[in-house]
Amino acid sequence: MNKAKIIKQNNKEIKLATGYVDAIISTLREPFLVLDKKLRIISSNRSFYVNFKVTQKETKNQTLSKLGNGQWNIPKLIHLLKDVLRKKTVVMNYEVEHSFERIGRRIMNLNARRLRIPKELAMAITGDKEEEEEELILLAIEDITERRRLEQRLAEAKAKDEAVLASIGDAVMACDKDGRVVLFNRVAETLTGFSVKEAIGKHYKHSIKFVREVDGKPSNDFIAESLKTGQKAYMVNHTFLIRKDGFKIPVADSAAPIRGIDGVLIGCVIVFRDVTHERDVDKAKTEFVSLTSHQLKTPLTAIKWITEMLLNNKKGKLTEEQKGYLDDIRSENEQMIKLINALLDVSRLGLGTFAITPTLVNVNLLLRGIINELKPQIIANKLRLREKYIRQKLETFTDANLLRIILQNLLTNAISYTPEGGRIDVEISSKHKGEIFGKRIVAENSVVFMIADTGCGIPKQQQSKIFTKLFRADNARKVNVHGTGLGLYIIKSIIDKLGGAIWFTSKENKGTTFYVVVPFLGNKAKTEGKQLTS
Amino acid sequence: MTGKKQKTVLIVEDEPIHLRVLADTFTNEGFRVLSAKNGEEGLEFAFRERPDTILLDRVMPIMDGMTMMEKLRKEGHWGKNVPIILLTNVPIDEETKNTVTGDKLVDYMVKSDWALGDVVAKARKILS
Repeated sequence: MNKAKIIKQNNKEIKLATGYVDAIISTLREPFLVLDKKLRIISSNRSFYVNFKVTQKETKNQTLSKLGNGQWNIPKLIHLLKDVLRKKTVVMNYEVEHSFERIGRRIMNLNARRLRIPKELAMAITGDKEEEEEELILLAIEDITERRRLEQRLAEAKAKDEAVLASIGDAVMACDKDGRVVLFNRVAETLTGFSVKEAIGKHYKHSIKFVREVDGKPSNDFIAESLKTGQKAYMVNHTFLIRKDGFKIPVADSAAPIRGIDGVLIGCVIVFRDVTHERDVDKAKTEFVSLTSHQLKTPLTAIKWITEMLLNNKKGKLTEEQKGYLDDIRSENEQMIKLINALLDVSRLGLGTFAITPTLVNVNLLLRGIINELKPQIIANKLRLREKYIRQKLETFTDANLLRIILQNLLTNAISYTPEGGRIDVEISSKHKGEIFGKRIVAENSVVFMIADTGCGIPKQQQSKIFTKLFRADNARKVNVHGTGLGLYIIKSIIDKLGGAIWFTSKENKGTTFYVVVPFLGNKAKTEGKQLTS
Repeated sequence: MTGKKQKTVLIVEDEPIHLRVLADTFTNEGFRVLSAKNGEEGLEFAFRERPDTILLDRVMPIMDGMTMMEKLRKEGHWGKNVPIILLTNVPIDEETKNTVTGDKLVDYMVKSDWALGDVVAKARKILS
């Protein structure tokens, strides 16, 4: 092949090569420049024109520093191209910030490369026949202004959240689903004695040590429970936090799950606070109530016993009239004793200081026992009582005393408010979760009771108040003068604490039916506190 | 009353009117009655006289009922085996319940819940 042909072939190849390169550069999404050694713009792309609001015409062959009326005369950029690139062939992630006339303040992230190329290619690219250049500068520009703005907003939001978190009066700790601490606020530092640095990244058991007051055993299970079940969990009453220095503080509160945007469990947030003061106040309240009721009961006991002695003719024979009045004293006195017992229970229910001791309870036996105790009254009032036990033996795991109080109360009410010749039906059975009882769906496996009477019923307008403190319906007052108005309030509070439910249907002068649901195994044992009396 | 010998009951009670009524009642029922107005006195009389049973109030000055019972139970064969009725208006708490359940010779009666006749009946039962 002759020389001319070789040159022609080479030129063709060069043309193809440059065409290839041009295609690449023009397709790039980012602004791209090719400069010669004198920093003249040899090649640029559409992205550059659009982004920096310059025209192809004013760009081509223009010296960079003169581009756009000197807008591009950026010292830091020139420094990169002239000085930095002299020492290195490639420079990555070089940041330059500049206020452009046409587009305002911009932050740019640059990659620059110094490229040696054959003279012939240089000539072909620059179109300069006397091209001595054997070096080009490739400049890729990424406009990160917007990104920076978002990063800053994010940092500001984060700082704001942190400020809020720092201002929360309670200790806040958040962990991921493996239990590693990702957040530990200032109050948490103060309460635990561990610094943020010591806590973050490690499993929470290293910084948050909860123990049960009652036996000193570790009590972090509520956190594990929340992570496992994905539900809010509460600390056991009463829990202590063991500080870094070994000191113990009484604390209270909860663990709640943290869910990601798609609802997946990603961790848990624990909030707790020092309750020393609250406990002291509660203790004072409890002591006050106990003391007061004890003081009140002293004279009442004396009256009770003295009237008993007199009524037994132990101090001489009484006339019928005297006996009658003494009997009234006895009866009124009993009423006062009942009221004080009820008030004591109400206050304990309010303070949560009553004991729940779950044991295995034979429900049939319990109910039969109560009915036997009430038999004299049932017979005296000429009432018919029908018992229906669904199973031969029905057992549940609950507090026997509390269950007894509930049943006793409801049965006593049925007897008190049903006129002579009336009927009382009692039915007990068990229901599985989801089954229907009294037209409602049972939430958990439970023991259920139905106590129906043909008594005076509850007037419709007064039905909504039936479970409130000291409430007695008007017709009830007429039928039974003695009633504390606290019985139903107390049993509703008990049932709530046991995780059960109570409701009724009633029609005035026709009768009332009460429905009670007491869940199996639903009772958290509270080992301290006094037993309820009524 | 079971047995031919007259039974002795020690009543430890700081409230004068309760003491008077209880003493009166038990005397009428044929018991020999001793009385003390606080736990310290009660302890002294108990060891000296060795009553057949003790009615013990809880809330008393100088030494309360539970302390007296504790001290009583620590002292020799008699102290460990004398039947006691805790007769008080303080409702039973979990801790006391455990103590009472553990000790077969202790009963707990909340005064305002029981008639005098019931207290006597319980004393007789505990002595038989």
